[in-house]
Amino acid sequence: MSVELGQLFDAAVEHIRRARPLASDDGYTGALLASTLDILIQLDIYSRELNWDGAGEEGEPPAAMEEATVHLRSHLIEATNYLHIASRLKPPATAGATTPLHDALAALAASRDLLHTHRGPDRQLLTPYALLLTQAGSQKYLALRITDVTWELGRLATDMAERSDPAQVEALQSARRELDQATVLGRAATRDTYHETGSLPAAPDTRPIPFVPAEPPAKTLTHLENASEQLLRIAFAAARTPTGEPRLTGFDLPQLARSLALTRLLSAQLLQHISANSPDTQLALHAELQTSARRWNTVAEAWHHLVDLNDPSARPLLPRYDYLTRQRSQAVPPPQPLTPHPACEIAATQALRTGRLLYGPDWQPHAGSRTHPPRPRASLLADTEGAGPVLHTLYRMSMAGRHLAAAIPALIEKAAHSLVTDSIEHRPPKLPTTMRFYPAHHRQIEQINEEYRAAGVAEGTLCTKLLHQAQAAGRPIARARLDAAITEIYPPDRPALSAQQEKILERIIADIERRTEHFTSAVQRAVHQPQNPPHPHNHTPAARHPGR
Amino acid sequence: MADMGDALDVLADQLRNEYGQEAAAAAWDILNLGERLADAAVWQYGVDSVQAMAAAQSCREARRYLLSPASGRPVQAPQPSRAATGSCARLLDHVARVLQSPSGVGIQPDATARQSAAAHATTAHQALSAMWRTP
Repeated sequence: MSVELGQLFDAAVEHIRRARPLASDDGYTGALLASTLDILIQLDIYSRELNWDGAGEEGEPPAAMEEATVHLRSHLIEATNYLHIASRLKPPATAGATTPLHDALAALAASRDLLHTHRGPDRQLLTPYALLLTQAGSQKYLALRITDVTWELGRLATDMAERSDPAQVEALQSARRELDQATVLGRAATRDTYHETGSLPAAPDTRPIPFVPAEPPAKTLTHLENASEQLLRIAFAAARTPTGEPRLTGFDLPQLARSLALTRLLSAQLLQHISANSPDTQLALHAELQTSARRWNTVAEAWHHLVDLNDPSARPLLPRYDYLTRQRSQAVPPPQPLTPHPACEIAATQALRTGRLLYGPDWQPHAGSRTHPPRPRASLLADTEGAGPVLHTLYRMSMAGRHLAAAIPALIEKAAHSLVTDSIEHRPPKLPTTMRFYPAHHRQIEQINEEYRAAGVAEGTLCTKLLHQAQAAGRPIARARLDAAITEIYPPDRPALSAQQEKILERIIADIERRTEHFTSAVQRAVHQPQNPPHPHNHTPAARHPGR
Repeated sequence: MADMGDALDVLADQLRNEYGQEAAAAAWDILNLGERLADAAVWQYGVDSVQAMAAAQSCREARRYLLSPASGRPVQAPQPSRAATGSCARLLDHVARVLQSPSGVGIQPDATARQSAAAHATTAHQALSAMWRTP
């Protein structure tokens, strides 16, 4: 399992708690004060990044926090000042002494890094979770967790005050007061918190994770989940890919769909194998996994007669260059075939991993499911720690599939002009017989998108069934709450803008451009008029058309 | 079925053609046919679905590294049967061998792409020829 946001805050609080026994040791006071100050600085950076003070930069999402959190920050600053005074009175005696506070600081820094992974270098959104983080509920969650840290720091300050000299005691008590006030005010503002933000993982990069022969099954499950996270990110980015970056072509999409079909089919076999003792689970899920596999395979089939011209291999083979052309170095090498999009490799590795989890580390998809006997059920279940984690992994894979099915139709509509087909069904009657390919018929595009929608529906049903089964098995999937929260903000089955809205937007932009042009030319006329010689009266439009 | 046999024979003949154009088109068509045939057989009784999907996937993978034909018509896919997939698998093997032979240059001039295509065609041949359960 990858680390989640909530776990990092839990770790920070736990480490501060572990540091409290050291407060009674006079030798550590200096080091503890220095580390506490570091943590407060970290918290201050946190609060500034979230724009709680309302001074957001232009284009940033508006600060969603209420007034009370502004006071939280001011109390944090006050506490920092008092601690500075205390630390000046007592410089660290043991230089470089490590306390558990170092670990707390590291955990907090890691939590900030985790949040940063969801945004690109230009702060662009990389995952749908970045959208969630702009919501008030998620920011309140962060405020709540920060108050957990400030509360623990307050207790630490109290402990330190017990064994310090009087001047220091005063500063520490004041710092404690400020920290407690920050906690109270912060907590008061954190009603309607999205607690599911706590199960937020770091956004993955999109490099496929290769299979290593000696991969233990528990690790395989983690990698399968990470790959799902990668596919989710790719799905989110699919429709927003800027020009120049590799995008999913008409060659990648059917491969991706077929890999997903293969993964679902192997998952069905895996589930059948591990839940042979519980026929209820098997019956409910096996059918859904099979349906999902069928749907994805139908998506791949819908691509049979389509070729994407954006793919270099879609160019026809030309006659070879003659000797003279080559001699003059005028020959241009043919376009190189594109390497598959990372998504294809991620999905293919996912299928391979699922198969190897069931059939052993040297299994290959083309060997089928009969040549290798499956791993013994008892040892497989012992390695994966029961069926619960497997259901969790299947849920995550299915959720990624659902997002892909939702995101790809928009991508296809965008690339529809570069799709050609050799289908006999839609062939125009007047097309010369020598021409094999012709532009894809809009019905074909519609049909493909319909298949993607059907696959999305199947994945949605599968997700729900998996959740119910996991609940029934006593292993509820906490992550589902986070996914549900995203689905609310960014519904996978609805594009960001409808076609009609986009048209309206285009019209508005065109209108604005036209007005700007008018305005610019009017300004130019106004500015340049004094320099220009005055027009003779009979040449002015007004003179020519006196009636207007 | 007789038409099917003829169509496959024509493709096999074209593949033997020394001049690249026709052989390249035939290789592309055979891989396309293999994919459609495997897809049609995935849910058939007696077929290993995993293997059929793997065969279709490898056919498409191989096609990625070949240049598409400009003329001709797609070959009509036959009903999935043991005989049909058997002959298609033989053709796929043929494609792989032609790609590895010196005349493969006429089909795909780039050496790396040619090798990738040949490797995927071999995998497709293995999967397609073994996907029916023994009676």
